[in-house]
Amino acid sequence: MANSEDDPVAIPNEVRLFRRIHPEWVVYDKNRERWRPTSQNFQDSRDGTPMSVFAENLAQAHGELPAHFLLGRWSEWGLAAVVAGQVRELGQRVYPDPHNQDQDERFESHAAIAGSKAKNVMKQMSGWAEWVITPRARS
Amino acid sequence: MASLATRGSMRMDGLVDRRNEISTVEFEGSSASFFRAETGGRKPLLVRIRISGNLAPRMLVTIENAPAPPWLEPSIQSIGRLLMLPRNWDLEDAPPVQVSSAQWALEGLARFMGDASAAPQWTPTRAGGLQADWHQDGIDLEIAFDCEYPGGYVLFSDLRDSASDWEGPLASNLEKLRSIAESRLNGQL
Repeated sequence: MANSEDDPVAIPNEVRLFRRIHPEWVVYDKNRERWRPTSQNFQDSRDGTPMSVFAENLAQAHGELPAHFLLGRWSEWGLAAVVAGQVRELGQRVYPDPHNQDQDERFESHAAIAGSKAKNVMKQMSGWAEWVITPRARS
Repeated sequence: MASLATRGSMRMDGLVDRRNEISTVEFEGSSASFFRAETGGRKPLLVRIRISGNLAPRMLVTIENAPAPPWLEPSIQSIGRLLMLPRNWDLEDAPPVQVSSAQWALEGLARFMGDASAAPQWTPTRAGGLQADWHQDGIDLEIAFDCEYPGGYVLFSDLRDSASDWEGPLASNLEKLRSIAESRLNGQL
């Protein structure tokens, strides 16, 4: 069982955290002239477990590439990045969480963003998110 | 007369917009009407929504006495498509979008949108609701309609003045929303 305490040693503030983005949860932002993930993408799982991400530093250490996170049933999804230090400023804890993922998946870079996800927190993360891979329908 | 047909199952009744004197009335059991009384020399607006088919439900919308508010038709089109999302559309066992959410959402928008307001971009929420997004003219505006806030919960940011950001229930912020609709939501997306 992973420790659910914030872990800035394993995942320093400058590290990008990759979040899968559902293709239905993308809208066009005329202000920024680009597609953006909606705030709905940035919430905890329905089963109550914290929001899943993949930490870029851990991914690089284990040879995991962004495209690997979008294989199989995730192939229509996109991948966006937020920065660990930013989400910590929102009161979130960020830590490695390799054991808490779907049974058919095993990514050593799997990590958690834990903490209260009020609507303004979700919206803030959506505004910060930068695309790594846009969903197929938007590319 | 303008008309459109879109897939989806939808039942609306009791829609009321006190500002524009818009209201819905139940029509032939599985249909509804969306009616704006004649005011200020404008023609009355009547939108009829008819549901048919149990196995493959279709939502037929007829807009009479056009023009309808420009935001209405694209909103109905978008919502109709989202109503067809199956359970587990998010791979996390999300329920389908609820018909009641569609009613709440159109009711909510009708309370503050102007005739020149741009239609929002509609997306589903994980709780079977709908979210309306506008990101234009220097503002970010999101309104979620679901079982937690059936009347709508608003998040507003002014990119030119972050000190004026606010959030709260739609019903408690109608004057602010009407002002935003008039000044910042004009034009087509």
